[in-house]
Amino acid sequence: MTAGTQPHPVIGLRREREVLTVALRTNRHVVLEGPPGTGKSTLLRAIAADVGQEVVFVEGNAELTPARLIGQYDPAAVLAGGYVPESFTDGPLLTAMRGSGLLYLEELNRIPEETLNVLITVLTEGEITVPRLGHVRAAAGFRLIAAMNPFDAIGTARVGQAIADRMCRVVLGYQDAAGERSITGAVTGAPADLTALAVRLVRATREHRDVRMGSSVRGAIDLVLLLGGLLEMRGLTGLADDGARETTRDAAYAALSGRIRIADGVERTAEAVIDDLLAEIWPEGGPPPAEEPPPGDGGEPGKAEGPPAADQQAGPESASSLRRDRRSGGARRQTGRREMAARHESFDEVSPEVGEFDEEAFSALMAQDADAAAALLTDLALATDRELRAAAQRVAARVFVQVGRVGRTRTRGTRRLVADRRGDGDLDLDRTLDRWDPGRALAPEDLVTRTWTGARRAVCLAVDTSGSMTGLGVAIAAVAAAGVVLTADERLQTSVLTFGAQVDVVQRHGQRRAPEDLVQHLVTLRGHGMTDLAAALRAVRGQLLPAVADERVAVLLSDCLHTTGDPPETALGGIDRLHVLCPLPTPEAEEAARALAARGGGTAEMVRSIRDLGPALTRLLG
Amino acid sequence: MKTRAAVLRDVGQPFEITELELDEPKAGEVLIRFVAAGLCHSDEHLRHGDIVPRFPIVGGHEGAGIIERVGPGVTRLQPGDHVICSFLPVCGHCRWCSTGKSNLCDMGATILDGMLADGTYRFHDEQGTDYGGMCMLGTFSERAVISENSAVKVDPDLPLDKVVLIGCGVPTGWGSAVHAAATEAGDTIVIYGIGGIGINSVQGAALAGARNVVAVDPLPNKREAAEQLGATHSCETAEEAHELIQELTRGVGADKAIITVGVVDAKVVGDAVNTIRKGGVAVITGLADPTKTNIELNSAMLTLFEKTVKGSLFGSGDPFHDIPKMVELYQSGDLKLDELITQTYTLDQVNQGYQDLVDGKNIRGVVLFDTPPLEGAPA
Repeated sequence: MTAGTQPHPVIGLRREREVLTVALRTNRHVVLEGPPGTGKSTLLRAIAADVGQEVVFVEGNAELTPARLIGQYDPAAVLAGGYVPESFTDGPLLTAMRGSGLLYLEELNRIPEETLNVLITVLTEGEITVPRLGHVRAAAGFRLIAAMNPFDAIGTARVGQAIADRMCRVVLGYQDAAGERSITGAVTGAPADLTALAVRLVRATREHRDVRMGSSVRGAIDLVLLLGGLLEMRGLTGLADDGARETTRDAAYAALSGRIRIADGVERTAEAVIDDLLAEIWPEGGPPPAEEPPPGDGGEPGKAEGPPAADQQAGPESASSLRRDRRSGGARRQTGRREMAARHESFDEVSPEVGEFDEEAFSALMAQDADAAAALLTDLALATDRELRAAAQRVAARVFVQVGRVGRTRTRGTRRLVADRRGDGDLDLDRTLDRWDPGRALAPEDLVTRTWTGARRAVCLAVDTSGSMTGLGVAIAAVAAAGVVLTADERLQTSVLTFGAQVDVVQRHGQRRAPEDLVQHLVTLRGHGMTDLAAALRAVRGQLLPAVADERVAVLLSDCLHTTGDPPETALGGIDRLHVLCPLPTPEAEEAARALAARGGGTAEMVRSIRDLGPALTRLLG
Repeated sequence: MKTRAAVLRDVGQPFEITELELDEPKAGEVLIRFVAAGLCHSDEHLRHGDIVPRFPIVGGHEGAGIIERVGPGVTRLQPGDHVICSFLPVCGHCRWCSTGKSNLCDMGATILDGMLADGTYRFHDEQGTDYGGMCMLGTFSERAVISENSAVKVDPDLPLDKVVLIGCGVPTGWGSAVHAAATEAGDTIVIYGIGGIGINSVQGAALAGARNVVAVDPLPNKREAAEQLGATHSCETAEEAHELIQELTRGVGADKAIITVGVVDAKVVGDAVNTIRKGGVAVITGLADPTKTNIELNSAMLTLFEKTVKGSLFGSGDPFHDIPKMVELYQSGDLKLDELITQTYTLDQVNQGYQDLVDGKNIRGVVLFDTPPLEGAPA
């Protein structure tokens, strides 16, 4: 790239730059999607400056209201001059529309849906109607560019189809090593050996098996700056000096430990991971690592062609999570055909031969006796017979998700802004003026504000896998998990964990896991061991606590008979409401479940058949 | 009938993939179509010359497959049966079989010649040369004719490409720990050499309740595999292991040692005998040249400390009992097989498979066949 044609150099990202430039030239709205630190903002600023357009930046977050995006009447000006256009203060959206600018919305998928809906007509018609202000048309050249992290990042939601359908999407991944070295070098001006070391360390954080999300190139930049400074302060001339490795470690702790996210269920600190990586790249007592050679093809440094590989973020199916699964499911027992035939009357009809799964026979059984069918299916899901096992797991994912879906009969609408007397949120000028008698001084109680309705809920399902979790019990757990995950939307965030004596989080709050995938995981679980309800409830609280929610709901699928740990009543803190689903209840379990639910301010639902689950979940969450 | 097979013609020569003529099964014999064959170190011993068989010989003594025809008088098997081959035949009535030591069955005397019980061969080439089958099997072949005494029937829903390992490597290693070393709950067990045998000694010792299972192997991938399958500790060298065990046992020493290295030599046996406690047992499972003297021990140490050095063949168990039992342990999740298989090969890649074995890349390699069934035979 030459400075003559590119006054705003962006390192790498050639393909993305071209696509974005053309999208802007053809008046398309674009969403840039990529992990933090992949150059979304840099790219946008460079292109906007090249086309000479004004850019209006808006930082998206959960509290961004429509008024803050569009603009609002200035109360003082309204009092003085009434509702005249001059009293209106343009928000970023109107500023960009009127000034033929670029509206840059960062963190698009953290913005509440009601606020995003404001954009729908803007995106297609280029106009918006603002109450008391009227129609505003976008000047030619107005475009929306949004940026967002991949959906799986914590605190993000899926962007609605109405918005997604009106925008093009450009995906950015991490740049290659040469690209990141150039960026780090360009920003810091540091010597090549420092930037090479920093980039290697940072890139290694993304590969480490215990890390869910590694550091971006920003980490490398900070690391180089800290390391350079520390070396100087300690009187060292470079990486070859004694003590340089320790200095590198100190700098890496500070620059990287806060940036990397340890994978679920791994009990290690970020510092321990950094030690690992440093030991690998720069063994103790060894010389500093050699600089990596520049890529031999002499091509432009930067990201490799094509969108980034989908597996760069450690999702539920990443290698590290599979390793964990294997460990926890270490003693997973398979069932031979003879044993299954002895246990289930209809086994021969559903699987007449080795490797066969007769879906029609299974459907017939499901219609006739859903519980027997479900119990059979969970046994088949762990058959020794591989083909049968695979077929059963596939069918289980479909059937159990279908059964779980019954629960969702009512719609809950979208999150709304309503008047609020507590004084939180934005001033509602109309209502305040209605209430206020200008003859007297404005009293605090005259102020009416608008804030989000208090119905955002976070729900965590805790599935008891202790004791006799076999057959139908497993099926009920799988259906319940599917049902809860399926109710999730922008107003109801979910998480799922399983517990016996230990707790295993299978769907973390804020992370998405397809219901089919959850079902496949749960149908292979078999119960054993003690029940620690209190530990489960504490883990539930851990999932619910970081949620942006007005109500934190725990749903406990358990017989509620704890056999180890503290009494469950002592662990209800941080849970606004505890509902209990009691599977296949005995009188003793029913009593315990009702008592615990009553303590938790919720209700207990008895699940005697798999068909009870849908209605029960609807009553609890609908 | 024709069959493609990997044969050894002389010491130091690679396997040659060739087409052979295969006879029909005679009395007490069955025709088997192999589905899978394990690459076990013993075949490499033949190729390398550590142990010299009668040449030419069809390699492979770990196999699982499906019976396609049966000869006269066969009562235990019928066409369509799924079987795991036992690398040692079990006649059922010799002195050893009738006293619960069927791994020592007299029929095993000719496994290195590879002829069947009547003294004749079923593999031949165009010149009429007789080819033996390694261990009376020859599993590196699409088909073979074997004695019904070498085939253990299993349920048809089992994955033959995994349970094939129960034909030799798994029971040999597992049994070395469970039967030969007689691991007891709370024991400290040291295992030298983590290959296809040693890894299963680790599994056996762990399952039998050993408190410490110390795996010794110079290769990090082997040590990692051992820890994944139940080793509590792993060491790179015997010296390191000795020191560790002294610490773990407060100077008492390991209860039992199991030697499963590729070729047994004086050093490893000496290390094992030094590391076990008074009254301890060192089990030698690994092979060496049967014609040479290869170990030297101080007899006074055996006398004064009442140490035992013993050999173990096929895990010192009874194949027709142990093979079905291990299948069930696999189903109950107590015995890992899938995790042992590092790499699979086709018949044509047998030499590559053994190169990987010699290079230490594999815990276990397995040859998979996709031979179509005989016309009219059950699939």
